[in-house]
Parts: sequence; structure tokens; C-alpha cells
Amino acid sequence: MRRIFNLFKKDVLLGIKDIFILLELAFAVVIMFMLLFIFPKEIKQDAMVYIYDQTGLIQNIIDQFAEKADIDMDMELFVDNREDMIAGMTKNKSAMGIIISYGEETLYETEMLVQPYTTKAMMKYVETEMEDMLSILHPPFGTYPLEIYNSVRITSLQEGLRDEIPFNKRVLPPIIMMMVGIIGMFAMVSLIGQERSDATIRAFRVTPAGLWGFIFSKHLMLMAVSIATFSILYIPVIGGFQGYLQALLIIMLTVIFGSTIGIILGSFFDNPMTSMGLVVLLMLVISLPAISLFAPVFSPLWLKFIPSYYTLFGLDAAMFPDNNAHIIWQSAAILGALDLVLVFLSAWIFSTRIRREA
Amino acid sequence: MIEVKNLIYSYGKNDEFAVNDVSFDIKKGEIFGFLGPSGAGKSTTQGILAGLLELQSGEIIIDDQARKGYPDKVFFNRIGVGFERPNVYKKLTAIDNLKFHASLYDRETEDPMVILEAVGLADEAKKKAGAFSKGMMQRIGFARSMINNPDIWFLDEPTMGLDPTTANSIKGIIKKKQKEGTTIFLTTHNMFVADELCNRVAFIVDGKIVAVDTPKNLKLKYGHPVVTVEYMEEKKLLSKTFKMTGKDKLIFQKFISDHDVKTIHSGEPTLEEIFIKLTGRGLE
Repeated sequence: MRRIFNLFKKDVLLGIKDIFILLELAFAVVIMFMLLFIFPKEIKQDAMVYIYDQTGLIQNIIDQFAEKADIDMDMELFVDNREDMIAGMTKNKSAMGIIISYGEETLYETEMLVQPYTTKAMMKYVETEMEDMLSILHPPFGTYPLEIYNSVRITSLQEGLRDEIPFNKRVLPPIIMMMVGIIGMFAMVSLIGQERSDATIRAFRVTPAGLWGFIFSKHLMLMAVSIATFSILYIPVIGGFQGYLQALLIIMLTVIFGSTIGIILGSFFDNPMTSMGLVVLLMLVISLPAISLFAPVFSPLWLKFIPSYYTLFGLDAAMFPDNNAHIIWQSAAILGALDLVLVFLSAWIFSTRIRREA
Repeated sequence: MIEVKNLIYSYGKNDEFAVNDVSFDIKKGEIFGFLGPSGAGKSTTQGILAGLLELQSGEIIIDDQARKGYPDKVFFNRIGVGFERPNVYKKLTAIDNLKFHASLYDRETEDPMVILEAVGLADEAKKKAGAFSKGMMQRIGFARSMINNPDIWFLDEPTMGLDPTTANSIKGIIKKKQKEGTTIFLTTHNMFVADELCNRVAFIVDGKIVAVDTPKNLKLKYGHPVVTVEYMEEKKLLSKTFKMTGKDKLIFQKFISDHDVKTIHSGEPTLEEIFIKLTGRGLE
């Protein structure tokens, strides 16, 4: 224990002088301020609207007004059936759809299809536009029969509308994942690379302290830095400790994942800079699941094989509680199991590689 | 104290041997020198003995105990290893480097400040090692290797890159430690260091030991003492060298009686000359 403490103390002393760790802490402060004061709480959305008009109503409007006003309508917006509309919306993640049909109780019935993440403001905007358009057919001055007005209804393709969460908070899970969880990989590659290029690891290897202690203290140090970075970002942006412990659990498991990958990379590259190309490539792959977080319709099976998928959805579920609390524990279990394997595997690869060097 | 039998090591675990069937023994309190050019297998042998490299084939017996696999903590508590390349934490101060290493041992360690004093770095104790010259970093590495007051001390080129004064003080520390009973395994390609410090030396080339003996015996066995005479002839100072063996002795005696001899210098072959004679290769 005394030895681990001394190793930890040395790693903290080296860590606070390590450029990657200093940059991480500095960036955490900068990004926290950006999220609080620069990032908008709402973002504007430009939405494309597919139209499936069973009644000829829109065509009528075009015939009446577009020619006179010299309006050029994009006919690609018109689809022939509901299935084509859903296919188009699946392809175009920002698109919505409007189906106009004859109603049983009302003259026209208008159904709006939206994406799971379409904001309520956007829906309201389209709804109002529809009302205005219908009102043109029933003058004077934007009034039209009650049966038409009441017939606009909104249908979501999926559950999970979260537009009530401010944008600057919604982007926090991917930011925390990259800044805290995955940066551990950078830091570990840097720390191990430094020990190898300075040959200090050789001097360490001829002492009674084993390589397990060497690795363990580096994990501890990175976890300590990660808790600090995570707290700098989390508490001010979320505005308190709501979901803090659950999110911390997810991010710590991700830190271990990142740092074990860092150990494996550090075993093969004795200079941190030579491994940076591979590290950046890995970070790109690891960041891919963020797309799915913002566009849940994009969720191919292969995405679930990237561990950061569970980090993102685990963090999201912890930060913004709804009925998906099980996702936190499911993500923690998957990341924990992965870590268990990687901790032993990385230590084995590291000691095997290092022991080949005189 | 240390017996090495038929040591074999291959980095690629194939037929290319860095160390090939090496056998020798080191007595307690002895300074044993391993002399050879770069790539001869000196550092690999030291790496295996010090527990950095796996024992692939052969036997290492220390204090009548044969080693199996990698050494245990007891062994690492007993040894000190000084490397050719300085290995210090550049972001830590000199004293913090030594304090950290001292904290890794289970036995009583030396006072870091006393050791820094011994290697002439007491005034630089609180300076970051990164600001030091290579020679100063080398001295911290040397100081680190003796922090646990080792019973067996492995030193790889301990005076390389040091100025003559510092090199002398390092050699003084090595001699002092030997007197205190430390067994020292010294690898070098500097014949003067080996000649001055070592009780016995082994010549190693291409992973194989060519000869093992005391420097004196090697010189007697493989070298020939010579005498160089400076004399005046036709108002010019000339010189001539004679071997002190066989009929050359008689020629020398006749020469000094027939000439106006000004100086006579006796000389013995250097270890390097013996090395070249035995291996056909230089030590650089």
C-alpha cells in the first residue's frame, strides 16, 4: 500500500506537469464556460416537409396561386403514399411529413409525422403554417371551418421527445465522453511513452515494485484527474448533483476503458508522438455513437459494438432522467465487463512487451 | 556468489543468439568486468542477470539458489542497476528522483542527500533533472542504483561521458563499495576502467566469452613486455622498441652498450591490445 501511494504520488507530480493532463483540465474549464455562456439553449432547425396529399388540396392551391405569383414548387416534396414518406424521413433526418386526407367527421384531416427529436416549437410552426394554408381556401382573413381546424393531429414516428432539455445540456454527454472518458487514452499513451522514452521504466523494473503497481497507480491518477474534469463540466452545466453519481460511475468505467487502450498502445509505441495518428483514428471511431444520440433513427447494429455507445446513452440516461433508468445499469454492466477483460489484457500485453526490452 | 552456466539468449527466440553459451562465476566482493565492443552481448547478459530479461536457457545460481523464471522481490531488494543511458524523471528534482526510488524498497535505504553529496550533486538537489547535463543525469542514475545499498551491483559503463574528475570520484565510490563487501558486475568497453577497477575480466565478442582472468594474468599470458630506448645518433634523437623475450633481450643489452642511450622506458601491453590479439576486433 505504501508503495502504491508513493507511485501514485510520483504519477500525480508527473501528471500535473504533463501537457495532456494540463490541457484537459484547461479545456474542461473553457468548455464549461462555453456551454454556460456561449452555446445556445435552443437551436434553430430548418425542416423539410414531405407532403402526401390524398385530396388534391395542395394541388388546388398551386393551381390557384402559384402560377399567378410565379412560385416554383419543389415537386420532390410530394410523395405518393405513407411508406414513401417514412422512407424519405428516415433518409432525411431533419424532414417532417404531412398527410392530408378526407376526414370521416371533418372535411379534411391533416396528420403530421415528426422525427423523435423534432422540437415542439418546430411542430407548432408547421401546424400554424398548415392552418394558414387551409385558411386560404376558406376566406375571409384566415378563418376557416372548425372541422378543418380541429383535424390537424401530430404523430411521432418514435417515442422520446426531449426538446424540453436545453441544447447546451443536451451536448454534455458527448463532450464529457470525449473530454473525460476518452482523453484518458491520450494521457495514458503520453505517460507510458514518457516513461519509456526516458528509460525510467527500466530503472523501475529492477526494483521490488511490480509492473501491476506501476499500471495501477497510473489508472488511479487518471481517475483522479477525470473526477476533477468531470465535476468541472458536470456540476455547473447541469446546475447541481442531479444524476452525478450515476454519471460518474459511467464515466469512470469509460476512463478505465480509455486508459487500458492507452496502455496497449503505449506497449507498442515507445514515443507518444508516433502513436498519435492511431489514437486520433480511434477517437474518431469512438465518437461515432454520438450521431445516434442526436438522431436515434440512426442506430445500426454495428454501432452497438463501439463501447462509447454505452457511455453516451448511459450518461444521457443519468443526466436527463426519464423512464430509461435501466440504460444506466445496462451500460455500466457492459462497460464494467469490458473493463474487467481489458484491465487484465492490457496489463498482460504491457508486461509481455516490456519484458522483451533489456 | 554468482554462477552462470551455459547462458543462451535470443531476442527473436530463433537461431540468432545475442548471448551464446556463456559461463562464468563471480565471487563475493569481487568486481567482475565484462569487456566487449558494442553489440557483443554485454548488456543482454547484464539484463538477464539483473532480471530485466527472461532466462531462456542456461543456469543462474546466486548464493547457491538456482533462479527459475523471473527473479522475486527478495532479489530486487538486494540488487542495484546502473544503466548506460541516464534514466531519470526529468520533471522531478534530483532529490525527488532518489526519494521516489528509495520508497520502492523493503529494506533500509541510503539517505538521498548523502548519496547526492557523494556524486557531487548536493548543490543541485532541488533542481529539476530535466535541466541537467547528460553527465549530471548519468550521476543521478548512478546514485539511484546505489540507493538501496545493494549486495550485488550491476553497472553499465558507469564513467561514460563523465569528465576525468567526476569519473575518478565515481571509481572511488565503486572501490569503496567493494571494500564494504558489495559484489560488482561491471560492463564496459573502456579498458582503462576495467584495468583499474576489476579483479577479473571476461572478454565477450558476438555473444561468446573468449577469455576470463585477472587483467594482470591476461597481460602476462597473452602480451609481451617491451622496452623503448631513446638514443643519440649523428646528433639526432632516435628511439627503438625491444621485446623482453628470447634473444631480443640479448640484442637489447648489446644495443644499450653500443649506443648513446638517453632514456629507457619499460612498457606492458594494454587490455585492449590483448583483446585485439584474442578476438581480432577492437573494443569501440
